[in-house]
Amino acid sequence: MHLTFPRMGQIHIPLQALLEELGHPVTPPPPVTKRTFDLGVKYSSEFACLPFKITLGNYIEALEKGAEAVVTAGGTGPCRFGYFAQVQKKILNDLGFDFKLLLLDPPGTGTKDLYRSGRFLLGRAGPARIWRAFRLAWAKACFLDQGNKLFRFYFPRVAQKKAAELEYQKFLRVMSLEKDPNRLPLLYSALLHNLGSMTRLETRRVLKVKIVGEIYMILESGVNFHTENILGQMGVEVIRNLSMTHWVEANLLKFFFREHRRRTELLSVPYLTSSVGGHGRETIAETVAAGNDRLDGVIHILPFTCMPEIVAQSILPDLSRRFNLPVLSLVLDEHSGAAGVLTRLEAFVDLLREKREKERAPVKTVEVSRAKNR
Amino acid sequence: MRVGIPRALLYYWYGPAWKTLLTETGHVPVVSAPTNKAIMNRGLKAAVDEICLPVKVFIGHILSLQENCDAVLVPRLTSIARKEYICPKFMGLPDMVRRVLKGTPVLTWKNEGNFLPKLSALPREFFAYRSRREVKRAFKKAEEVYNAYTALLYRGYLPQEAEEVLAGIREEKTRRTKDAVIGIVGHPYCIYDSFVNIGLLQFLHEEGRRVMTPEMVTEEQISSALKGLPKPLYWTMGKKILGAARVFRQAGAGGLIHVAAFACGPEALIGELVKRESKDWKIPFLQLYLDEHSGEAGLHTRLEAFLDLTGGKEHVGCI
Repeated sequence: MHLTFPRMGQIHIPLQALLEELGHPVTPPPPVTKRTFDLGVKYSSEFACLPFKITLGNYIEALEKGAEAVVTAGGTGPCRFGYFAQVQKKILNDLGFDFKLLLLDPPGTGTKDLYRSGRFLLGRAGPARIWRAFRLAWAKACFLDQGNKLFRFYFPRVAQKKAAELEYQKFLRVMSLEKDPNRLPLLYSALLHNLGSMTRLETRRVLKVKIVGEIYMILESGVNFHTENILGQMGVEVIRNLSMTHWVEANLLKFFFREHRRRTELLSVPYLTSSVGGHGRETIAETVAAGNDRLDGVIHILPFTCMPEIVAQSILPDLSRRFNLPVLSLVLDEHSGAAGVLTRLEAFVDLLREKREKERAPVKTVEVSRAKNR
Repeated sequence: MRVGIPRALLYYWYGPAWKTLLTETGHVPVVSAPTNKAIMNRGLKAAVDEICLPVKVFIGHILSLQENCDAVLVPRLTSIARKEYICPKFMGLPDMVRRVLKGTPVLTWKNEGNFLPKLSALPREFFAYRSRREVKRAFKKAEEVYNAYTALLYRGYLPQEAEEVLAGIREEKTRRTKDAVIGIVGHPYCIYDSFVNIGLLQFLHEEGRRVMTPEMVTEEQISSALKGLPKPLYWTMGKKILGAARVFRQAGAGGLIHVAAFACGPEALIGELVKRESKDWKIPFLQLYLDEHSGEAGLHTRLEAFLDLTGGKEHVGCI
């Protein structure tokens, strides 16, 4: 049975590796394009958030290509994500698609889906193979995140942006093809070497901007109009704490990685005293961290009608004032245009440059002798 | 201490109980006026653009209360039933309110599992000059009032009328007539705030239609109607809406109106389910999205067209 799954950033690379190692044929959805937008928007309810619409578009495109089952996660939080799969299944069934839904709900939601889909997914492999599959997928996820971090660091600092971009694309391609976890570090160090050799002499400090917000919107560059790339082109280093490994550690393996939650709570508690579901609390915490780190600015990306992020958005002006930290909120939906986003990012970066020039300007000194005479 | 209670959001469920709690603990509850243009405009100015209209209206109420109150009551309602949530915006409400309010303290509590707070979760101001026993007695009284209030709602009273009955202004009488029934589903603050929904209930009343709202359906009816869902719904209000829609259909409602705020999060999914189910049932279905730009004429035209569809004609599929 051909499996498919929603796209989110580079998550399809480790996920595909995992499922293929477990012995399932995989039909990954094509990258997010205008058509994905159109399909998703056409068939989902108007005020569903953009992640809902895009993942629905992903499913339609993958099912058209011959996928027969959809692997996706669920949740229990107040965020709508936990009920995506059920509504999307109803929509797809009404459209005439017949497929099997393999839902990975966290335990305790009162459904047996986790057990059922787990049995189906793991059923074809023995323990050794399962271990190997998870090891490969996790190693890929970690190296992809590291590689992405590297790229975000070097991209604003290299002279030939196009070459660097191609280099990174090549890295992604070989990462998705590699089957041996022991060779992944070599690919990573090749990327490090190639990017490192491209950097030019740094004449002035690179602006540092942190991206916070809803995880899907941040990671899926097809949805956020390649914000990170645009910023890199302008010579701005993008700092981002959320990533797919972070998500897995903080949500699925939260028992072993308690430091994520502790950090979020400690940083956000003076401004937001309770969890609001989704990544609302992380947004506040990361913005506070950006203020503490004296970064130049914060860009908050959220889908229109996202509930947790709206709560965060209404608290952000306070943080901005307190830390003297410019914050740009990008509320995106299917009506947002690439040109509009580009204009706003350019204006924001100009503002940050200006702000820094002002702060670096020498302080006016009063002539001491004249002051004495008075 | 004069404590302001905003007449918005979940006031329509818990207002009387909160009022009793405050009176019994020796405070003076001050309920804000019904929503009007001035209140809404204040809220619109102070709140973030992207937030839904009910929260903007709520912030307007808070701002209108701050002049003649010592404190404002903003409970942080996370969940009122086990493993269920209300909208995330309710969880961040005190934090959002604290940002717009300058000076007036916000009386807030955290609660999970029940709409009344635990004693330990109450702010200290509540206990001023009161013994623990007195506070406990106040809680009990508040719960009694809540039970009486919901019993009235189940019998078909609208919140406003039920409050008047509780206060002794209005006489209690049976009120069930044999008119064509229209089921209205939606959040209480969209259905009962007649400024937000531009007099929807009154319009239907004048047209001679009897309405049923989710508040008239008991918990047991809802949970039995929702059996067989692929995954239990984890929003208390969403559950109420989908369950009530199914109950109305079983009760033979001639049409369903779904009232939601523009850009309401949970409604986007629940509304989709209700819409698709009513399509299967072949019941006329009207979806109304309310925001600050809604106009009376547009609403009435659509309602009239919808009522024509429900009245007398054979079932016509309509979405």
